[in-house]
Amino acid sequence: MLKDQQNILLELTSISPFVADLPKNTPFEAPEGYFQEFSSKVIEQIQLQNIENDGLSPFMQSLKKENPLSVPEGYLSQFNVAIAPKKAKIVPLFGLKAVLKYAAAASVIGIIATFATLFFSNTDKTTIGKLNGNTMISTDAFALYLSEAEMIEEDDVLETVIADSQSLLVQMDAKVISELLTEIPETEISNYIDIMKSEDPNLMN
Amino acid sequence: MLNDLNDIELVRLFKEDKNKEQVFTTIVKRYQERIYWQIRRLVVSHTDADDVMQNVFIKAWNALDQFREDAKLFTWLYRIATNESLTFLDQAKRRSSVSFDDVSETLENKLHGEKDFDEKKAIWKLQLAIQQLPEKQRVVFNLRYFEEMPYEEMSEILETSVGALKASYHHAVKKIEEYILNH
Repeated sequence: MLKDQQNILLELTSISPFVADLPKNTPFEAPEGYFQEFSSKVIEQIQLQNIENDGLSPFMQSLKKENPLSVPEGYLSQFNVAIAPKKAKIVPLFGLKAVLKYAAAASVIGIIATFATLFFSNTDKTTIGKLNGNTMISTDAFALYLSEAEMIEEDDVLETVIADSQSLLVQMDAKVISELLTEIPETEISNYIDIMKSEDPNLMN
Repeated sequence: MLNDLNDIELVRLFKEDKNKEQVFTTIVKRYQERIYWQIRRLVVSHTDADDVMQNVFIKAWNALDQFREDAKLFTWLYRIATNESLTFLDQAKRRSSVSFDDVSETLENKLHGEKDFDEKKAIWKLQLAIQQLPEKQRVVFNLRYFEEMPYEEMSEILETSVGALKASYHHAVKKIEEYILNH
């Protein structure tokens, strides 16, 4: 005991000689006669507690201690929670849907690219052909060809128009015209005349 | 007659339901002063210390039937007393809804209200310095400095390793020195 006290003092001196020199007594005071009375005060409290507990009827006291619930035999020893192992979600590296999606996109792009290639290649070829043709024919010959072609075309067109109009006039005789007019309601004819008048007043004079 | 019996014999008699109250009174009288001063140093005022004391011994009465004979009765009572004191301080802190620093301030105010208080005297300066310590260091310092308790016994009471207790004591002494030199 004395050795313990010496060790404690040595330890304290090594940490702080200043604190080791401080007075060790406690400045507090307990009221006079406190320790003489304390034990009887505690016993009184305990008796009071026991009276409170004894105040309960024997029936209530028995309720406090006994548990009316029972557990099936061996339940707790065999108790275990069956937890089904959780299946991990399988994520395919190449899903069918994804493959189809990319295949569809690729085919659409392929079709567009094919048509675009064909279209542009035809255009280029035509242009090149024309250019090639132009380079092979001399400018004088080309101008002569164009003038002749124009004359031929103009004559042909004129002849054709005249021929067609003549044939139309031949076919549209008075009888046919009257038949056609009977099929058109008078109101529409009068409307047409009004419209024409408003557009060109001299036309119907 | 009962005073001649050691702790183990007293506990055995208590468990056998033989003169329970007399046996328990003997136990109370044997340890009440040491328990009281341990509590008083932590809660400061006598009124609070008295409340905690009564709780400690009522708890001891209720649990003494389950007390293991291989344990030390004094260590067991000290543990109850320390826990009850810290619970009391914790409840006081919650009641006042203030931080621990403010509780230290409250304890300091309680010291100022003590009879013969003189802050110039080293004995009171030491008490003021102790109130500035964190709870755990305060408990360790009190047990080592005033009770001269070996670390092994302290370890049983506080359920803390000897190494941690030594470190706590070292920090506590240094803080006390610093406080007193600066005030």
